Amino acid sequence: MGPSARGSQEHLKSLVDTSLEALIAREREQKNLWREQERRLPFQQKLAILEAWLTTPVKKARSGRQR
Amino acid sequence: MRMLTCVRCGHTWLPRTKKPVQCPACHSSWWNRPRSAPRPREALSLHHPIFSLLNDLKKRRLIKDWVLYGALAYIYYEEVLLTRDADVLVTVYGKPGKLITPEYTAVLRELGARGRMVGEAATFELHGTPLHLQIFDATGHDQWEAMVADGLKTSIGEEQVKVASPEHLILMALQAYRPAKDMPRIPPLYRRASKKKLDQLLERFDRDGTLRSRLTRTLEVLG
Repeated sequence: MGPSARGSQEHLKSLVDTSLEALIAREREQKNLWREQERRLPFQQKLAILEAWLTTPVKKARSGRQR
Repeated sequence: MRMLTCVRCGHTWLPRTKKPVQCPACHSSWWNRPRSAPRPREALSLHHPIFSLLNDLKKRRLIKDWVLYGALAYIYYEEVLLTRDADVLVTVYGKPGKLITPEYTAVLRELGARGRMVGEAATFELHGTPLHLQIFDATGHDQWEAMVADGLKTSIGEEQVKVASPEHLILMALQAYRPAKDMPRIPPLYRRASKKKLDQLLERFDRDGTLRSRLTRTLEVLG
């Protein structure tokens, strides 16, 4: 691999790293925004969210014996 | 033979038979059965029976007052956490004793009649809700009685609900101080707590300064 090829590969890697970092940062920001919105909800609505979580059926993992 | 229209997808066609089995476009066999009006979603109210029962006990003077603490109280101030428990402190009439008092026994008996006891003592699953009511008698316990007295009044529908103040929740979190459960709840509650009130509580209930140093450390690390 020549020096210029290595250089472009490093450049590509840095691009991927930056975009990944940006993606993570954006996701974190989004989550904080949702959390902030949730905080401001009235208590009754927060309880409704909790109740929806509690009543959502969870798909059970199949155990070896059943298979 | 006349043209037919599918009520599901709106496709119109000239049928080959009198009673077509399905719509040739969307293949729905219910092509001639209109969609029923969407049923209004019933309001979820799993917590309602608990609040309603506690208010009923208060009205019948079986308890003096009650306050919500634990995860549900945290939810009142902050974001939603997953919890199945409703942690409640009550005060009863009569003199406090070392053992369970007759007044509090009457409360437990009443809860037993309205549901069933699960797992550890004083945890009830009431009829009409899968949630667990964890109840403790605060009568005669200085800190807990203050927590009931200082609670913030709010309402859920027609039911009055009393929620422990952020200062009391911080105090309790500092006492239990479980790394995963209590520590992360302290900084957000601290931001909305009255520093003066919290200081007064620590003055009263933190005799050797352990809770103060825990608070400082937590705010340094997580705040």
